[in-house]
Amino acid sequence: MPPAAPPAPPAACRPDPSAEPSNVIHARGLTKLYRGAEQPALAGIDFDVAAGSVFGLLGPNGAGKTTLMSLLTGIQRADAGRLTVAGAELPAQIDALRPLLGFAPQELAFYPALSVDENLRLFAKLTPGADAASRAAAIATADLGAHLRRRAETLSGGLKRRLNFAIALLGRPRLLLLDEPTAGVDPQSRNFLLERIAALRASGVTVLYSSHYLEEIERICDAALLLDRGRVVMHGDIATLRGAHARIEDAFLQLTERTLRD
Amino acid sequence: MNALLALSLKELRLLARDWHGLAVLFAVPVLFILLLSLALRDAFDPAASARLRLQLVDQDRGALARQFAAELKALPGVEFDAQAPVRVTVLPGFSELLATRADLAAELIAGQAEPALLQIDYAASTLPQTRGLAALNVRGALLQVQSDYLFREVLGYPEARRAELRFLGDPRRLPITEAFRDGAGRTVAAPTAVQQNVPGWLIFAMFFAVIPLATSFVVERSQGSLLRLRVLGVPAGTLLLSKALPYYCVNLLQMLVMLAVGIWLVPALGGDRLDPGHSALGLWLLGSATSLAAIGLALCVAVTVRTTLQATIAGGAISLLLAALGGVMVPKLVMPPAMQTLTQLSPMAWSLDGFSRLLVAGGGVHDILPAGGALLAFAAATLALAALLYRHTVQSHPG
Repeated sequence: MPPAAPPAPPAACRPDPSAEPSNVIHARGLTKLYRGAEQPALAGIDFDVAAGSVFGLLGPNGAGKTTLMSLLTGIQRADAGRLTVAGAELPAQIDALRPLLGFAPQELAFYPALSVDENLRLFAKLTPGADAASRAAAIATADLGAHLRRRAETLSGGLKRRLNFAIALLGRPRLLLLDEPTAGVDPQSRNFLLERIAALRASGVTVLYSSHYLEEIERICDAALLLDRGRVVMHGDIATLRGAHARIEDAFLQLTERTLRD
Repeated sequence: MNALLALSLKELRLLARDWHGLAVLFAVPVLFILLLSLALRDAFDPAASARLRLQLVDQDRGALARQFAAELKALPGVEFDAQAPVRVTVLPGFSELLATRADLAAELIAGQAEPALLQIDYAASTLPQTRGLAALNVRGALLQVQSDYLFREVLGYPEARRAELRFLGDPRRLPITEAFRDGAGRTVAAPTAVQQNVPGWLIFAMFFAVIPLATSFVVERSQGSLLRLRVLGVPAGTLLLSKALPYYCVNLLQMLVMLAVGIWLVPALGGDRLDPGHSALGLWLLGSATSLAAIGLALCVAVTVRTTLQATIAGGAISLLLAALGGVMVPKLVMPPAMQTLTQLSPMAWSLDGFSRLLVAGGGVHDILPAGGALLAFAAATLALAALLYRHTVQSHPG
């Protein structure tokens, strides 16, 4: 059931007039320190994401990507800083944002003992704005029509990723957050997903795309944010990120150093 | 409401496809009820516990030996059986010694050596209480033969007088009343095997739901579905309630199944029939209070553990401990007074006490109010704790 429109936000929560109207995400000074942690997961980061773009989120393990995703989805609250998504101040106005937001976690976030169709119907009932037509569209986009009756646990790795992706599309999102959507799939499935993401961008959907596969970032992203140890290492378009290097991976290793991370 | 309904149906659907979970919740308690109600039927039956099967071997073949055999056989509960684990042998010289040695008692009191009149042999597996019962009956029969001989042959009492003395000495006419009392000294009804085992294993099975419930919660968290639900804005209360409602329904179904097993299946297999009492409302109220207490505990475990292994070990250990402490495995009535007091630490004991009042004492709603109230208070405390722990957990982790 779609949530009721939230009341007018207090002055402190109103959209930031300095934010570019073409930016879907506008973050300034975002800081998050978990209880008991010595280092902040995010240490005052700034970035913007342009509407209708595919925006890469990069960084080694422990860089702060998952924490940033949890701030963008409203399930965590920043200790300091400001985060505006589609004009909504987070986390105060998360209810207003939810009908616009689609999220596919890195984990295969569905119920393996349920069929593909049962999973889609369940999450459609829980997704603001989802209906039978949007469910059918999500099934078509992820090309799951032939697998609806199969239990999710019997699907191949690629099909599981497509189901995870389809669930994120159930509410016809205008902003799609994808956390490593191609992890562990074969090149065919990866290519399929990347093509569908490009098609979504073409239809005006903004995509925030987190991945360790840097060639994917290079292929589909317009711009990217490179994080390391909770700080912004680089923010800009892909050409800027690559710099003088032939491959983006070389730039990544130079910027974040080759030291192994915990 | 739509979210709660959708998530509750999802939970039921997942449970229906989890054969291990269903086995734990239904098949295991049914098997325990059947096995223990049948195996312990006689142990819970006062009449059965007085039954004694004996084999008698008469090596004397004299008149007094025959009279001893008749006296023994006439005692309440004594049956002669050639396969019995207790064998009583009337040794050669029994009749002669009794007839010629009227001063036997005096000689025994004086500590003089005396040849044995009887030999009792026990199978190695014979329980101590059976040995005690056998010795008591044999002595009783021997006393009857001796006293009868004394009155007849030494004192010369007429038959009528002897019959009167025998009548007064009949152990079946002893002026003794018996009653069961709990640790507080109150008179209580002693349960039969089926009255002990049906509610006992039903309560155990309800609390054993901690394992599938906690496991499903851990799996949801590790697979990311819990994160997805949070991102979709499903409130914590709805999430916890969507776990509680299906298990409440499952718990009530467990109660119906276990009661049906006690009423129909156990007697069909030779055990006692369970009388369901007179208060269906009382059963529903007590079953509901027990279910809510079990679910509250299960949710506390669910939001605390991090892996399915932890869920299984913690859930199993807590359930077994509460069952052992609460008198599910060993009836509270046979525990020493100190242990009977300790049983009150287990909510299973509160529930068992309530079921005992309904099923054994034939009580009604009024009789289960203390037990039901304690269980509901426990449920409220554990549900609140689970909500607090869940809130703390989600605030401490990024995903």
